Amino acid sequence: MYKNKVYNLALQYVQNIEDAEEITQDVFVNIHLSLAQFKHNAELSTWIYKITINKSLDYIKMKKRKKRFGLITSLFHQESNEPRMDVTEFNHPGVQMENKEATKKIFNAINALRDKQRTAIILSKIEQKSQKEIAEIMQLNIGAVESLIARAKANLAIFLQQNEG
Amino acid sequence: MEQTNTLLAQIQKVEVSPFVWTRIQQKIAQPIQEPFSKTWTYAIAASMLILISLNIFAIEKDTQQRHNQILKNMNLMTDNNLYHE
Repeated sequence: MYKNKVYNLALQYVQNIEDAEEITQDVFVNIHLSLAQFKHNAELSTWIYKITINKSLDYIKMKKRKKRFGLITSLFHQESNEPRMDVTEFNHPGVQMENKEATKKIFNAINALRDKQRTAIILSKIEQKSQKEIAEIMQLNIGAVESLIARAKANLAIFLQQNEG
Repeated sequence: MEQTNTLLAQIQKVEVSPFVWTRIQQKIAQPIQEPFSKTWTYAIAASMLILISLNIFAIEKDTQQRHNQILKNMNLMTDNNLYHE
């Protein structure tokens, strides 16, 4: 079923079980509310992928905003006992224990990429989607996807090198 | 980059907790609560508009009356009559 596809895709964006579950819930509620808007000329899975990507990116932005706001308020209320929004823990259940550290570094680099490049690399390298499928999901032509993946790979290599050095 | 590709390809697919599905069903079953109904929003906006208009009208009238009173007190009221009857 789609619930596992949605959950796994969300996991690649947030690398955290709780956050991915939250996104999965949001996605299905959104699907329920906007099912009437679904155009039957597109594939259902493509439409669901698109919603999941948008929800995941929105969720990340919302979390960053909350973190920034938390930092500002903590400056004024240092004695406050409210829990702080710390950097989300890397908790990806799909990553094998022996690869955890190396994969965490790669995800840190992926998270530093721009949204479109991040989506392209997640869909091609983790979700193993073809360039045609990625083009449909991202509503781009195959050439644009190809160039996005190439740029993402180059930036990924730079980020990884910087982290090693 | 080869090693990166291999590690990313090795990420396994996992199953979502069954509780998530239950929570989704609960969320969907809940009626969507709008903070204000449209009728109430329009009614409040209309009353605010009327209230503001009445205030503006009252202030304008009061200013005009005061202005006239000052002119009258100082005998500066303009009058087109040349002769008093």
